[in-house]
Amino acid sequence: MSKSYELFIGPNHPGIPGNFSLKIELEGDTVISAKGDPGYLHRAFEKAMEGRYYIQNLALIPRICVPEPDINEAAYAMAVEDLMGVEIPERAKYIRTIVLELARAANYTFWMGGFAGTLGLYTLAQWSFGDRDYALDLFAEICGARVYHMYIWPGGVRRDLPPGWEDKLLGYVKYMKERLIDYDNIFFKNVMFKYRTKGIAVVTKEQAIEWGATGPILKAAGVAQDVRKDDPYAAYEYLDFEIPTLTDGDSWSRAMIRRWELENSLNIIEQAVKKMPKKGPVWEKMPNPLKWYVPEGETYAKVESARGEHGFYMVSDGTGKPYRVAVRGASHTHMFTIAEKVLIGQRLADVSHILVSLDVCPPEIDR
Amino acid sequence: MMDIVDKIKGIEGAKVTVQRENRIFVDVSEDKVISTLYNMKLIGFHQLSVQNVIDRIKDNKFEIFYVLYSREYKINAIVRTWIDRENPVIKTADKIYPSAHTWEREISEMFGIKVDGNEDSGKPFILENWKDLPPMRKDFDSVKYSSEHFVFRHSEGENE
Repeated sequence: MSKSYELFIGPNHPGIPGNFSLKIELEGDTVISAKGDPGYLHRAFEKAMEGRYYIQNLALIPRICVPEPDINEAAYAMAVEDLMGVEIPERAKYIRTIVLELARAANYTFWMGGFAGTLGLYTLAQWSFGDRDYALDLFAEICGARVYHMYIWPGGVRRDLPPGWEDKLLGYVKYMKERLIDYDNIFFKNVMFKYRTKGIAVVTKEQAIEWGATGPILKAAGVAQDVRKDDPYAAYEYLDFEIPTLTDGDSWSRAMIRRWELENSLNIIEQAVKKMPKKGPVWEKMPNPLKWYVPEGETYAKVESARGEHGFYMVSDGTGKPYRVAVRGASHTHMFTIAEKVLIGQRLADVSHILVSLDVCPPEIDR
Repeated sequence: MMDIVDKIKGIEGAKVTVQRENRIFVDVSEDKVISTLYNMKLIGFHQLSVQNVIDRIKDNKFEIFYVLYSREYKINAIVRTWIDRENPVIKTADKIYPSAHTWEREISEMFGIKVDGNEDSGKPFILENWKDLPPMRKDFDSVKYSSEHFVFRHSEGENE
């Protein structure tokens, strides 16, 4: 007679991607049910935003996603600009693109380390965490902060790039492209990686569409959907890049998509630096923060994060503070609609890498 | 774009407003929202990006919105409906869009809206042992709540 038992993975567990808990029920080492348990990172950002001026919220929103904060700044700024009818300067569009892609590259580098760690391949984890720091150093030069930048804001970006920064950025791109060869050799071509992840936690094309997946989960299932292509923002419409897709939809495919997306980001940065106007304003002047009244209305602004569609639904009542801001993080759907289903039938040893392959980011859920 | 707008206008009871390129508002009455969502999915809006609520306290209404996306048309359509703030109840959309299930669970906790047909409606989600007004309602005073439940901490070196 089989007997099931319950096990908590997280909130303090090396195999959980952040402050989040997963309650799984097992028979032997096979998962028979999985339930996400959020709330450990809830800081009521949406409520807090209603009581603050538009500019004050810039200090809150990057914290909605720790590894990739800039997507929040961009979606928030785009929502405000949409309601105010503001068009940002050309140079600001390119700088936003560069910053967003640098953040994406840093996020994927960070993610690779976490993913390799769940498979016991800690060498890549140590390399990639170290390499992420080079991206953070570049952020520190443009805004003074390594993790939370508050650099993209309504009207453009906070200040122009410092002299010589573009050369340093291209140096980082060159270094990372060389580094990708090392990553491939130690991890992506490693047979252990393939054996552990091929055919595991498959999300088919039909399931991915039905369950509302976006980002790498959808691309790994064979659907080329990406906000940067489908509803271009910043300078993406001027740049040439492809959306990588695979068809198997398993943990291996999701990891490979992210590896190619990292390369994609590096190529986009190179192109954007080359095409960016060398001079010109980077900020369309906004009103005095205390008299910054946004016209009444509601809108939805979205960007492509490293995990999928990331959006802000913003409502203004014509005053200096937003009436309501609702945040859409891709992880909300990916955890509760997808992870809880695909974990069933998997083995305990695979739970951690499946969760990281779905890249569930808990602050996007809790907000 | 006008092709899809015409199709949406064909849905019974739908009032369509084009906000800008790729953004459409579809306003419907409370009793038509589920059939509208069903029809929206049939005409190509395969994805529910976000479902949430705006507390229109001055009008004594809750505005429920569903942000949908169509890959075929590359358009976001926002379906909106308004319900009374007293004893608020909506019907679940999770049979049409599975991801609605968890959004509805969050809505029921944060706004106190009952979701008929969703077995997780009313169950704790993010909050723990919450006994006050649903916190995302406009009449919930978060500053008052904090001052009543938490001790004010002075910064180091600050005069008491």
